[in-house]
This record gives sequence, structure tokens and C-alpha cells, in this order.
Amino acid sequence: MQSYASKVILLVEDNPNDEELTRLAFEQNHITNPLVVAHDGVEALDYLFGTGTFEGRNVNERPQLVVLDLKLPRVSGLQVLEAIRQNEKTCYTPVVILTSSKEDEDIMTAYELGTNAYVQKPVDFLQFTSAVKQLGLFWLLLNESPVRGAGSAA
Amino acid sequence: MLHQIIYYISHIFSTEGFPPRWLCGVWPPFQGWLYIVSDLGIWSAYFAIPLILLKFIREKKELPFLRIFWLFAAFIFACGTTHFMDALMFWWPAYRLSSLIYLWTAVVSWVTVFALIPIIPQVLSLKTSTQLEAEIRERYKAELALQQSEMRFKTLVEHVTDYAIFYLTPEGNVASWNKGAERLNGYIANEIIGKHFSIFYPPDKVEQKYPRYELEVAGKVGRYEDEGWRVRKDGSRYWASVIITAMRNEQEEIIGFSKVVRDLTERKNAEDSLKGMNEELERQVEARTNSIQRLLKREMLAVTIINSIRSETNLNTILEKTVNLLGQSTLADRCAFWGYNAKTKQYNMPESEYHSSDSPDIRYVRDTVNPMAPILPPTCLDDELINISDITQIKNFSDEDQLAIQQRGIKSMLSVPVLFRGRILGRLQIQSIFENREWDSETVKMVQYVADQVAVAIQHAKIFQYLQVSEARKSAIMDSALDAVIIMDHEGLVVEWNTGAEKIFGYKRQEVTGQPMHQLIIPERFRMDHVQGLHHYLETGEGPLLNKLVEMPAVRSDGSEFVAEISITRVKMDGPPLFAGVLRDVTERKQSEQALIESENRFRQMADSSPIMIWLMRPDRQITYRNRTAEEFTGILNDEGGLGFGWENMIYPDDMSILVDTVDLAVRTKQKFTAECRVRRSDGSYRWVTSTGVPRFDSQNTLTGFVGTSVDIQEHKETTEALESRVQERTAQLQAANKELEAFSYSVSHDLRAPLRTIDGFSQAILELYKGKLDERGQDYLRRIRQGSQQMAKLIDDMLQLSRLTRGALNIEEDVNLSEMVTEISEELMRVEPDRCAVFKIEPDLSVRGDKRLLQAGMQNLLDNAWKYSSKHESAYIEFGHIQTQSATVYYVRDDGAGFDMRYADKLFGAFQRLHGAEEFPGTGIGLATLARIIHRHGGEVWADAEVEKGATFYFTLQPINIQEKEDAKLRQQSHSAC
Repeated sequence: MQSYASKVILLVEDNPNDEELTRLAFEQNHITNPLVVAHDGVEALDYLFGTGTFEGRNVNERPQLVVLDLKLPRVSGLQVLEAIRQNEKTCYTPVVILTSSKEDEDIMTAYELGTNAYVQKPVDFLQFTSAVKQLGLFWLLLNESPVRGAGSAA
Repeated sequence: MLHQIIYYISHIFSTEGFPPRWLCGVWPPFQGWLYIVSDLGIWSAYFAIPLILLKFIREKKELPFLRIFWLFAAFIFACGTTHFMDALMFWWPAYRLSSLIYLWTAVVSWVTVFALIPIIPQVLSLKTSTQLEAEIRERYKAELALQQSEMRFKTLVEHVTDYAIFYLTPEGNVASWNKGAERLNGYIANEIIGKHFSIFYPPDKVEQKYPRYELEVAGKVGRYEDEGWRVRKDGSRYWASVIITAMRNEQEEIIGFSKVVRDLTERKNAEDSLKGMNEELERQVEARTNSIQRLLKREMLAVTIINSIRSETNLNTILEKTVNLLGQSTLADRCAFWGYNAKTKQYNMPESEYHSSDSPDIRYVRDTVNPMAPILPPTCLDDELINISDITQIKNFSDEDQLAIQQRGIKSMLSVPVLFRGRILGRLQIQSIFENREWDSETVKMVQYVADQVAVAIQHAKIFQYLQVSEARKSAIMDSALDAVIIMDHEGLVVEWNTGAEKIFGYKRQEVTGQPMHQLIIPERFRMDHVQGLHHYLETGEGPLLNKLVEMPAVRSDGSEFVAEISITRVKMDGPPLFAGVLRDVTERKQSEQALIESENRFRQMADSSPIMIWLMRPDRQITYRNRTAEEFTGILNDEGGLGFGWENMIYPDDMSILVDTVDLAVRTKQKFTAECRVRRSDGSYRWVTSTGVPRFDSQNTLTGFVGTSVDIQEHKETTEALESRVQERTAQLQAANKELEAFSYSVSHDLRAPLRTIDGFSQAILELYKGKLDERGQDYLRRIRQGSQQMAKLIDDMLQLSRLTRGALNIEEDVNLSEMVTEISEELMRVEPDRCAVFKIEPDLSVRGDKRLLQAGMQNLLDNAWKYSSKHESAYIEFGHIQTQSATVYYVRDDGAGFDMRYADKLFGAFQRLHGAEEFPGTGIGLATLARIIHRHGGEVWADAEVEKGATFYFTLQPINIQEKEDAKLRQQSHSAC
């Protein structure tokens, strides 16, 4: 469990309220993994690929889960998703879209680009915490990611 | 005596025997000297007079009576001498000499006397000096006039330009040269004077010594006239009229020639061309005469043939005579008649054939190939006339025929069908085997004419054969003929009048025989023409109506007129001519022709009054008729040579190929075609025209043409285009609006929900994290905040759904099973609220055609409503079913819940409209609006029926329905439920 708990969750969220509520939801569900928050698409990509403000970061330490909002400043969530799936180092990283949009088109595009799940943020906070709980349980505990080379084992 | 004379002569100068006069007698000196001096005076005077006379003679040339003057001079001189001798004899008594001188004087005097006697009358007539003076004056005047005239003449000669006038020396050298000569011959005087005049002649004439010959003739006869070619200085020729006149002096010696030359080239040319024209005219006249003679000869031959076959009843004899006479008269090498067997559709072998003396009888070479059939091109129609001047030009003969042509050596042929009332009886065929012969139109006409007569003769012969008895059959034919046969003699009197004539004209044969025909059957206004025509024919042999089929009015015995078709032939026999006329009443035919014309006129009027263009087109795509509308459109009138006019050049070039393809396709498929293309109107503008045409075919499936209509759809097209562009514009606007709406919905779903989440989330966080620090009232407020935000989230969701339904295309599927859909929804509802006591009655297997997702949403809303509004009752009964009305299928969902007041039914399907308070039944008021929109998008209708606390029924169709049927559905549903 310890090894899983030490894995980073990358939350890509521009709204500080939603960021706070998400933290709260993780907290209430006892998900203690370190939470890295990127406030827009660029920051998310910088973190993932060790560029910009995250220059020099060991990119082999990949996040256990990426929670991605779609409506982001600068680079949109869908673009971030596309970049993740196109890079061989990150292409197997689980990505969950957590967004307000329930537009058919958005859902379709997200799956086409290879998202692992699509969850609409419910307005009801109880439902929201419930959803976060499910997500954490599944992606952090139940889901087995493919085994990588030596770099990832360390 | 003789002695005395001899003595006298020998002693003529001797004074022997005589003393000097002085010594003879007594001469006183005075008297003697007076005598001597007087004698010498006389002598000197008489010596002087002849000298003066001599001088006179010498000086004055044309002196009359010159001899007399000489005689006078002589006898005066002789007298003077006698006086001299008298004076001399005073000293020298030469009496003998003196007597001789006296004798001489006497002789001369008498000679003078005798010379004077005859000229006395002349001398008497000699003019007196005054007379002479007058005469001289006259003569002077005349001379002056002559001089002037001569001057004038000279000037004239010199300046005359139309004639060359010049003089030649006796040898023929040019001695003078006038202006005319200069103009005509091109030489100026200086260069030509002294040259020989043969320079004016063409070399061949010079060689023939023609110039010299001319002068010789002129010299002998005085004048030579000639016309011929002469040469100018520049070498050009002219046709000259020449007159050469010899000039002689008093001694009749030729002193030269005058030559007058005139240029007659133009006259010569005119004459030549006239001559040419005359010759041409003569040739033409001769050719015409020949052709007329040939024609006459042929006509006579044709008549001979006809006459010889007319009297014949034996078919074989008729044909034999025909081919022989026709062969001879057309100078053909072969002539034969091939009978046509209508049953086998084959030609029979000819029974008789004519062949010229120098061509072989083909019957001997018959055993080669295909002896039966006449040689005909395979494409030849039964009634087609074949005129081939060079048989090698026709390529498509069958191999058999080709061989036959070679074997028989046919070079050219003329094949004329023998037709009787359009039915082919056979063919008369004439052939030439020695040369490629052009069968001229006269021959063709003659053969055709003979063929027509042969057709009749064959027909007659057949009837004759059938009837057997000669006289009986003749009259029978004559009388059985429906046509009137009338024979008239040269005086115009009726000789023969058959039953047909009796029927047609209403006169009996006995009544009319011997009557003038024109008074019987010719309308009065034409009678004079007839009489004159007959006279004209008898005088000149010209009968324009003979041997032709003509239509003319005729009159019956009751005075009524009708149109008759008449053919008149002269019956060839000895003696005065007879004329046979065959008449047929063509009134009916005329009437039907007239009816046809009227019908056509009606059609045309109808067509012309039509606002659409109507046209007829030949198979070669030439317009043969267009109605007035089409004329106005195209600007081409039918009667201005507009018929037969192709329409291709009026079509907008880009539209041409598709139009041609369309028409071709229509012809291939035998379907009508419709094509739109731009056509040039009379004002030059291209307008869109839609044309519909039907290809027409005859019984042999051959295209006979097209009939069609065209309509100018330019305005329609423009309107449509304008409409279309407006539609596109609107669509674009709508799309833009839709885009905006989508963007709006997107931000609604995203941005409006985010703050709601914040409100709800932190309210909940406070409730959870700071529960102990808040009293009950504070907690209640926070719950209200959360309730409000969640209500707003629901509103947003419903609104988004509603707006989504108005966008995007319908995704129609054939079998959407509503029954299954309703069952699933009902199960879900019962699962969520398992404590409710509810019964669902769902009619199975109701399938519709529609968009599954939308219908799902619609049914969800309907059932949500039924579920919700029946929630206050202890139990609920919810029913889904259908009613079939006359034209529509009506579906319904009924519940037995709260129902509603029908007074507010009109608000039922409006968005955000609610008939119940939120306390009583929560909701956004969007569900039914969404349902209504879904049903309307399917082209259907939705309506409701309810009563407060007795439940509600919602009806919907997916197709249009009228009010009557709605009522009907309601009643039937109620009765159905009551059961």
C-alpha cells in the first residue's frame, strides 16, 4: 500500500474552489497520495515532460493518475490528453477527465483521444466526494498499470 | 511644059531674061523709091506681126484656135515676103523666085481661109470683153471659194481624228500624215513619212504581198476597199476599214494614192460577239428543236406504245410490245418487264425481252446466276425509281447481282416501278451495255409515262381476261368504271359517254351524244377558254392540258358545280382527232382535304394561342413547325424560311452537349425527354427554357420526328435562385446562431455549474467540518443554500437538454420499440422508489419510426410526469397504449394522479410553465416543453386531457392529425379505459 500511496496524483484544475473541494474530497476519502496541482495545460505538460518550471524533474517518475479538467487556460485539457497519449513515456498513464461538461461531443473526443474515464463533476458535493472516492479506489488501488522497464521500477 | 517647069525650077534664082525693074519702063526715081520704100514698109510690118503673134502664142498657153494663129502668122509673113521681093526686083529681077513666093502665099492664104471656115461659129460665140470680165470675176470668186474649200478640206484632213487620212507615193511610201493617222497608228508624222506603208500590215499579209496587191488594184480600178487587221506602232492590232484611191495627173499617170483608214475594232468585236451569240442561239434553237423533236418523237413513240397496248387484251402481247417499242425508242440495249409477285415478294422472270441487234439476248446467259430478279440495289424500295448512269458507282449490290452485272455487261440502267394505285405490279428496266448512259429526264419521263400506262393496261388486261367476252367486257369496264369516260371529237361534240359519266353528270348517253361537250359539263365562265383551247390545239398542236392530271371545276345537269380531276388524251387514229377525257368527282377528297386543312388550322390556332412554345422537329433535328409563342420567342417566323431551321445555334454553347445527349437518349429509349437549357431569345438574351419532347415512331419503329413544348422558366429560375440564396443565407445565419447557442450552452454547462458546485461544496464542508459551531438555524440555512444550488443545477441540465433537442439532425430509425422503452423506464422508476404501490399497463410491440434518443427522452419525461403526479395517491395506475384513428396512430400515457385543470391546458407545453407549486410537486417546468419539441420535430402532435384529481392522459402522434380525429381518439380512449 505504501508504494501506491507514495505515487503522485496530478490534478489539472484552474479553478481554486474546485481544487480545494477536490483536495477535501480526497482527504475525506483518506486518499493521501501527494497531489501535484497544475493550474493550466502548459503547467501540466511541463510537469509531465520536465520542461519550463519543472525543468530537470525526473520524468521517469510518472504520476499514478492524472485528473484532468477540460476547460483550461492556454492549452485545453483535450490537448493535454493528446500530448500524454502521443508521448511514449506517458502513453500508458491513466487519465480521468473530471469536468463540468456533459456535452456529447466532449465525451466522444475525450474517449477518441484515449481517456481512461470521464466523470462529470456533480454539483452536489456529497455526490462529488462519492465520485472521487470511487475514482481513487479504482485507479489507485484496483487498477494494474502495465509494467515498465528498469527506470520505472525504481 | 515639063521642060518649062524643069527649067523654071533649075533657074529659080536666075535672072536670065529679065532686066532689073529700074530698067524696065521709065521709072522716075521718086516714083521708083516710093514704090520701094512702101514695099519695104509693108514687108517690115508684115514681118513684125508674125513675131508678135509668135510671142503671143508662146506666152499665152491655153490659147483657143492656136492653129489659126499659126496660119495667120504664116500667111502674113508670106505676104510680107512678096512685098520684100517686089522692092528687091528693082535691082535683082528674080521673077521666078518671086512667082514661087506668090504661089506659097496664095497657098497659105487659102489654107487659112479653109481653116477659118469651120471655126466661124466658135469665133462668133467668143465672149465679148465685158462678158469675159464678168466671167472672170465669177471665175475668180469660184476659185476663191475653191481655195477656201481646199483649205478647209486640208485642215479637216489634217485634224480629223476618227480617220487616218494620208497620201502615198506611187511606190507606196507615206507622203502625208494626219492627226487621225497619228492616233490610229501611233506614229507621228516625222517618223513615218517616207516609210513604206506595208509597215501597217501584219507580217503574214506583208509576206503575201498584200500591200502591193492593194495598190495594184487601186491603180487599175481607181479604188480599193478592204477590211482587215492592221498593226499599230506598239504592235497591237486593230480591225481597219481601208479605202485606197489612186490619184492621176492630166496625162492619166498615177501620181500617188490617198488612203483613208478607220478603226472598226469595236464594231468587229461587237459583230464577232453577235455572231457568236447568233451561233449560240442557233445551236440552242437547234438543240431545243432537237429536244422537242426527240420529245415529240418519244411522245409519239409513247403514244404508239400506249395505243398498241391499249387495244390489246393479252397480257403477254402487251408486255412484248411494250418492251420492244420502249427498247427501240429509248435506244436501249435491253429492255424487259419483270412482273412482281405480291405473294412471294419476288420478281418473275420476264416472258419477253427486247435486246438491240448488237447485244446478246440475256436469256441465253440466263443459266449463269440469278436470272430471275432484276438487278436492283438492295436498298431499293418497291416504288423507287432507279436511275444509274454508271453502275460501278453503286457498291452495295449483292455478290450475285455483281456477278450478273459483269456477265450481262451492264453499264447503266433505268428501272421504273410499274405502280397501280401505289401497288407495285412490276418493273420496266432498260439497260445499256456499251456505254455509261445518262438517262435524261425526257427518257425517264417517257418510261414513267409508259409504266403508268402499262400498269393500267396490265390491270385492264387482267380484268379482260377475267371477263372473257370482248364487247361485253369493254362496255362492262367502261360502264363499271366509277370514273366518267367521255370522248369528244375535234368539233367538241360528245362521241362517247359512259355510265360513270351518266352517274356523275346526270345526263343520259342518248341525250348528250353529238352535243357540244363544253355546254354540258364546263361551267359557263370557262367555256370560252375551252373553245379557244380546242382551236388552239387544232391549229398549233399545243395542248397544255393534254396527258396531264388536272383539277378543274365541272358542272352537273342540275347546275351544281364540283371539282373534277381530269385527264385528257388524244386518241391517236387517222382522220380528225378524238379526245378522251377521264373525269373523277374529287369533291369528297377536296372536302376531306379542306377538313384536314381546317383541322390543321384549328390545331394551329390552338397552338398559337397557347402561352407555351409548341414545336415539331424532324428526325434530323430541324424545326418544321413552331407556334406563335415560339415564333415570338425566337423571333423567327415560320413563313420566313424559319422552317427547317436548326435550333442548335440558338442554344447556349455550354448547354449543347447535355441537350444533345438527352435527345439522343430519348430516341434510343423511346421515352419523352425533358431538358433545361439556355436559349437565345429574339432580343439576343439567353433565357432558361425547359423543353419536353416526345420522339415519334412509325409502325416500322423509324423515328418520324418529335413533338414538344418549351417554357421560358427564366423568371421561375431567377425566383428559385433568389429563394435558394435566401435559404442559404438564412441557413448560414441559423448555423451561426446555432454555433452561438452551442457556445452559450457550453459555457452554461461549464461556467454556471462551477460556482454552484462551490456554493454547494463549501456549504456541505461547513456543515460537516463546523457542525458543532453552528446552531440548528445556521445549519438549516446552509441546507437551503445547498437546495437552491442543486435546484439551479437541475434547471441548467433541463435547459441544456431542451436546447440540445432543437439542434442537430434527426437520426431516424425504422423500428423504435416504444413498448420496450416504456417498460425499461417503468422498471427504473420502481427500482428508485420501491415503496410506491404502482401498476404499469404497457401495450406490447408498439414500434415507431423515429429518433430513438429523442423518443427515449420524450417517453422519460412523460413517464416521470405520470410517476410524479400520481405520487400523492396511495396507489398509481399508469397505462401506455395506442388508438388507431382513420389516418393516424395515436399513442397515449395515462395516469390516475393529480391531473390538472383543463382551463390551463394551453400553458402545459410552454417552457418553465408549471401548473403545480414546487412545494407540491418539484420540477423545472421544462419536461413537457421538451416532449412537445421532440414530437413536433417528428412531425407529430401532442395534447392532453385531464381532470383535477382524476388523472391526466397525454396523447401524441408522430404524424399530422386533425381536430376531429383528436376528439375521436379521446372518446375511444375513454371508452377503452372504461371497459
